[in-house]
Amino acid sequence: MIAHLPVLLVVVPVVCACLCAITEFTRWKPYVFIAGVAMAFVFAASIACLLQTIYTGPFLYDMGGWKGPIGIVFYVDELGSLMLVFVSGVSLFNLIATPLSEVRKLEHPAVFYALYLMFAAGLLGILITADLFNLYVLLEIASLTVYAMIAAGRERRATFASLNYLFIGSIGASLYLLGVGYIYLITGSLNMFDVLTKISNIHNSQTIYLAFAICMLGLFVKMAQFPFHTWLPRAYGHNQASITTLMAPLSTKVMVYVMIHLTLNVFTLEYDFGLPFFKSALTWLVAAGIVFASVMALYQKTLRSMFAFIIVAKVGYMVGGFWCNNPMSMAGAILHMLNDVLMTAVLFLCASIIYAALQSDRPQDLKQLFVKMPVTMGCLVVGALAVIGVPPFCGFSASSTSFRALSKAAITKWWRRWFSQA
Amino acid sequence: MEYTELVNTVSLSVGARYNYWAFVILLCVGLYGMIAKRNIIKKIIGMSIFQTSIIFLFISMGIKKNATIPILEHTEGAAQHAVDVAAYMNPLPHVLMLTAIVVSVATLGVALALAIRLYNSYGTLEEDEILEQVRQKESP
Repeated sequence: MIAHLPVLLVVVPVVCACLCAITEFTRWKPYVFIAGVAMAFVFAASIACLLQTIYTGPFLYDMGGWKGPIGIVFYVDELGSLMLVFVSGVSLFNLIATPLSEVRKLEHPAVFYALYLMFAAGLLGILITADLFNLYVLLEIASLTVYAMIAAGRERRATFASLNYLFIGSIGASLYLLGVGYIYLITGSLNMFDVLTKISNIHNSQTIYLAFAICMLGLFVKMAQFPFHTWLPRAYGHNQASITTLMAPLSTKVMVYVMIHLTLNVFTLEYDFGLPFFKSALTWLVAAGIVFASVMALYQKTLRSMFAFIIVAKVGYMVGGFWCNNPMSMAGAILHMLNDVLMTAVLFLCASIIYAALQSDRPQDLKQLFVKMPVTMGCLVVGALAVIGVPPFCGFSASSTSFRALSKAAITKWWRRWFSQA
Repeated sequence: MEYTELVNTVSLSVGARYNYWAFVILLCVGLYGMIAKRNIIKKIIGMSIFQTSIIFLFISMGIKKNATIPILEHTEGAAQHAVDVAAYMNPLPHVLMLTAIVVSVATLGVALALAIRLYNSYGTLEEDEILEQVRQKESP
């Protein structure tokens, strides 16, 4: 049982999702119970995986007993198992905290919970798989369920936003698949460890450069990095508030994890930062994106679309921090990724609770809400302070690490020189 | 460079790697359809072409000249014998694409279901008319 934990992390939610979907046709409808049990199991299993990586180090799981480059391998490493705990914990908490009355308003609540479990299974699989093609399939499972969940509400604008997201999302996933195709063309392997050893001999190859650029482009589309962010505010801002809460904290952060995982464990750091054009172009793009998204957040009419633009800006911090090429800024990016899962979960949960109470989440309707809902508004303030990075809250460690790192990075050297001349 | 020489080089590079050219052209057709067309069904068709082009690239990389389908033939009594790799096509990309085709069919299904929902609620599949209705609802 313990040895099979990595695969159970994916299999249990998928099987329970099928059970949930079946209850649509039965008289007895225990779908909330099934979903809760599945997510609780996944959370416990993630904690077990984390403990095992802490005590005995990263471990492999061979699917069906097939070893190494031939079979599909799951690999649970330190960062991956930490993300497992965050993702499964937040999705369990979301499931409990989402007002059930809101979900009951949907046409098929049982199918909705089934989609949610499939979504969680896809994300957890992405975190631990060590096979490039398997990652693509799990990525598409996670995205397809999100498209369906966004369109599940009664708002007709949500359907339109979901279709737009589907077009942009499938371009992103297909580009990732294309990059994997180039990697397969030149190495003949899809296993990440095998690709790593084979790629190191042919680093100056044009094909590898193309594969790297196309994979990253696909992932940037998926994680809503600045010029490709347009789908996110529309998809998260227009549907029933409780639905947004379920997926907003997780999907972009898992894509950031995939970017970090691929650049560290498949292409290696010497390769990534040896590319002359990529790094500098990306840093400037990220800087523009953070400013743009932060300004756009100020002009939003509802809390949810404001938070959606904050997610876009935060993705900029993660990508930019990672590509600044020094260890401290990378640590800052990873801290941002982990903290942001929690912070956005708090913000969107508060927004969905306010929406359930008032049927609106526009700032002008929130007057005197501190008197009516002191706990919710208190949590909202705490979440907002954490996003800003005020000391006692979790955003502070991430922000301070990032800023200390940035003050050492090359981009600020240029900035200092420019100011000393002026 | 002489004109005939240029034509020779171009035709050689196109002729020798015609599968890549076909893939790139299909990819661009699909992307153009998704970006430039204003009708949602045409966009969905573009998406399908885009995904198919990548499937086409994978399929074409498994093909070898003078090779047959990858099913091993054993003579009677001989359970094991040396396999001549060059005589068989590479089955792995084909198997991978079986999964990718399933994924793209699922995407297509979700997209068509969303298109039906859109048509039921807006009464049109033209993107401009839908945006017009969205704007009218927001302005008052």
